[in-house]
Amino acid sequence: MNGGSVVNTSSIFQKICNKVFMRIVKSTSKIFHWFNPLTASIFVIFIGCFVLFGWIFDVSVMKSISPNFVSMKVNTALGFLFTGIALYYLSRSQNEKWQLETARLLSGMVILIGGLTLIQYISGIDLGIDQLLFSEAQGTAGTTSPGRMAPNTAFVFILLGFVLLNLKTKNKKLLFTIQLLLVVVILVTWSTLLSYLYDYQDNFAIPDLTKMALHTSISFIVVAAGMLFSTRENGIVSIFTGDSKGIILMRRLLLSVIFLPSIIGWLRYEAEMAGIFSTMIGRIIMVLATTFVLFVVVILAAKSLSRAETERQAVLNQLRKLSLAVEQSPNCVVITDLTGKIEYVNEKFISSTGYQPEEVLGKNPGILKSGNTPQSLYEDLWRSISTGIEWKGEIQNKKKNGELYWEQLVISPILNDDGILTHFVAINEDITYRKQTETELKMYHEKLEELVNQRTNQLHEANEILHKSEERFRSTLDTMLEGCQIIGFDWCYIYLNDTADKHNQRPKKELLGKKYMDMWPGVVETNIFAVLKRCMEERVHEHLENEFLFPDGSKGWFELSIQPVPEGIFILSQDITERKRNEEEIQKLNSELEYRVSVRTNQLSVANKELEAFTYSVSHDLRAPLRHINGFIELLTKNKNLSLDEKSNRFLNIISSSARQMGQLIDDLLQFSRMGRASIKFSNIEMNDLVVSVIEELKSSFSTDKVEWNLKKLPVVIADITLLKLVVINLLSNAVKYSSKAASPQIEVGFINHSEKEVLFYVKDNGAGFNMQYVDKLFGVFQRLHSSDEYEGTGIGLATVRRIINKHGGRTWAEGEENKGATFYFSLPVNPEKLISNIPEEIKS
Amino acid sequence: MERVKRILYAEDNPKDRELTLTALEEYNLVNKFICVSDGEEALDYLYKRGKFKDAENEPLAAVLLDLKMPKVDGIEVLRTIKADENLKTIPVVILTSSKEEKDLVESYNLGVNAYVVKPVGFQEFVEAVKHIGLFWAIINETIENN
Repeated sequence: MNGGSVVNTSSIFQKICNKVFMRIVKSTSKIFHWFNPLTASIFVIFIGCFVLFGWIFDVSVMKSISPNFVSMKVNTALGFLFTGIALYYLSRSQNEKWQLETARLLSGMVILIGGLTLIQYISGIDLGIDQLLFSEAQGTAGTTSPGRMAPNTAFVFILLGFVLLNLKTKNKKLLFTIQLLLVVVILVTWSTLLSYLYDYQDNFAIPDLTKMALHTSISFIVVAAGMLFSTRENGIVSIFTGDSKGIILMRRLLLSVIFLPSIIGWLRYEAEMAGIFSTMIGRIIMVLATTFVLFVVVILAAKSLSRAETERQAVLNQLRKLSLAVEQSPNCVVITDLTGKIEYVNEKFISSTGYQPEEVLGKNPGILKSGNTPQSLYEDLWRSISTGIEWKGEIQNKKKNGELYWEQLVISPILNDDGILTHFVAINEDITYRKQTETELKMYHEKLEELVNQRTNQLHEANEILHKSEERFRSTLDTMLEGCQIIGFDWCYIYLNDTADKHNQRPKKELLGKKYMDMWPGVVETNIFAVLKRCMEERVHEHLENEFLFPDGSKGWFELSIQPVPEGIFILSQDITERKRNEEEIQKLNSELEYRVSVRTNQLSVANKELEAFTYSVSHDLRAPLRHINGFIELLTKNKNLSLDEKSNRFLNIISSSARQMGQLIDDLLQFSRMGRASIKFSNIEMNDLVVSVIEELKSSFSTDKVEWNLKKLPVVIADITLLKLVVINLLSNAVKYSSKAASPQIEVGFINHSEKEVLFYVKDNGAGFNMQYVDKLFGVFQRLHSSDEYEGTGIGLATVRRIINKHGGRTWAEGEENKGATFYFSLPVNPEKLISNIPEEIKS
Repeated sequence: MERVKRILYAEDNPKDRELTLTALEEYNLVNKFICVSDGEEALDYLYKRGKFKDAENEPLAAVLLDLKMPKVDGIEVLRTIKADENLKTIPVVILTSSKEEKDLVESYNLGVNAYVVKPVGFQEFVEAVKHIGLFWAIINETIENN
């Protein structure tokens, strides 16, 4: 409260104090920035060399600064030189072995110098080391024995040598001892320094002994401080080093603590010397001044501390916020040091990896490696972040339970205020699900792609096949003798082949792409268009023959096949003009023929009717006169009133016989003519039965007792029974008749199976036979090879046989030899109806 | 008294008529025959018209017809007789030179009672005529219808 009111009431004063004080403090504290063991060692090397230079060239100022002051001895200068070099080597981060050895040797030398000097003081024996290099005149200020350094200087050198030997020790106790010794050194030399400040001429300990030179004491402080700083890492000085507000404040206060009393004490001494105030007042003033200054310092420090605390609090709050944010971040956050050691992991990391903080802290994030991520990725990662560049990537890691997971990783380097790399922070997001989805998606995509490829290939192949077959079809179509045309649904010509050009009588380039109805004006009215339209609309197949009238007036017949195709309709045309012409010709010829046939048929039927009328009248009228001749001759011979001589009676008999013969002739002729007109009624006939019945019948009209019949086994034939019987009768009666004069007549009836199409019969006798010279005449009407005197007959029998057999579609012929017999052959077709049915009805009858 | 039935004989050929009548003479059957020279006369007789307008209405034992006659042939006369309700009971005999099947079939279809082909030989002819005369004029009984 008090301090606060002072500050408040005298703000100007406070400001001035602040400014002055702080400037001093700040400028002095800057010493810490450049002060280190190296600069300290260089400083003392310089001092050592500087004094040695003075000794060499005998420059008093360089030896003792002021003539009243004690000079720095040669040995002291050497000691500083050695100490400086040793400290220089020991303070450098990197040293050759010989350098370290040199440092040790020099340290030893320093102890030796100090030790020997002390021994001289204690024993009183002059070892001669004091004046070894240069001699110093007796009675030099503050010096009891010339060239010999002060005993406290020697003592400090021993301490420093010892410190130097153990400066690099790891032993904490030894280190502590060293630091303690250095503090002692500083205190000892500090007192010497104060004695110079307060004009205290005598030596503290032993008044007669040599006093420590001013620059010796300064050099000692510097070198001791330097040594202390070389132990800063784990020594007392480490407390003063650091950038925290508290340490900065402490360093400043420390300076005040160290230098302020000395300065105030010097001011008081100077004031007392000048007689400004008495020793008593001086003492009071000094206490007051010290108190006041310390009070101000404390206030300032407190204020500074309070401000620092507020700032710290704010920073802490900020930090807490950030910390919480990091702690509760939905992403894993890992902070490592520069070597990759884990210093921090957040909750999310723990929950997602399963590792407890104590299991991972201090470890390398490599413990999470799944082994599936290529090494090159890690190398790339390190290369990137170690050069201060943020790295982003996706890595597969392994949880504590061995489960693999994918994470998206961002590793950023953390730089301090000076831009120096201090840490790495890794922020990871578990993207396993996304990865899985991605993988699945990728899989599906690949599958799809594969399918698409497959389909594409199939399509390609199908296309190829299609293309080939299309080509094949096209070339087939192109070269076909039939005209091919394809008309699309829009009635435009899509395709025409060369033959179509001929059929259309115009080149395809005129038609392709054009509309059908535009190309053939007036076609819409035609029947053919109606057919095309039906095919186009109802998708039906059409086939027709059509006569086309071309623009030039010519006509042509075409057979058209029209069928629906995917493009529209396909028209296949064939030029049938020639065929039509031939057909017409044939039709014309046919109708002509038909006409001629009908004319002929008419003529024939007229002739038939005439013939019928003729035969009718013949049968009726021709017989009447014969009957009359016979009748009246009969009446004549019965007339009892008429006496006729033998000759007359014989004539009458001849007339009567001729008339009868003529009657027979007429009967035979009628029968023959009827044969021609009779229609055939087919039936199955047992040839054997027929022949046997005929033989029986013959017995009544011929004397057949002598005849030796030889009847073979005969097949069944298909024929008209009435007509066939007539054939058999004629042939057998002929055989009987012409063999009647033979001694033992033999008649054989048989058949020869020589073909599948016909059956061949024969009737063989051993009678009169005939001369083969006249064989042609045998079957003629009224043709006879024997006279009526020899054998009775009308010459119609064989003609009738031939006529009947011809009507059945068979053949007749004969073989014979005069007086040796004859063989008559006739054949009948196996399927007679087939042959007969082809004969027109009019001709048949 | 039983009335003698007579046979109407139509024959255009006088020679045939003579031969026939000569043959009948031998058996005293002549008076039983009424001869006409063609179909028209035969029909005139049957319907009592023309020159037979005043002829006595005698019952007929049979009608003997030649087929081939001028004016009206035998077939026509046969058809007329068999179509007439009053005449169709009279037996009709065809006596002809024709052996034509066509004539035969047609005659029978029209209801002929007998069909006789004149034999070429005189003796046979006489025999045939005698048998016809005897059979139809004497043996065969007819319905008394006129």
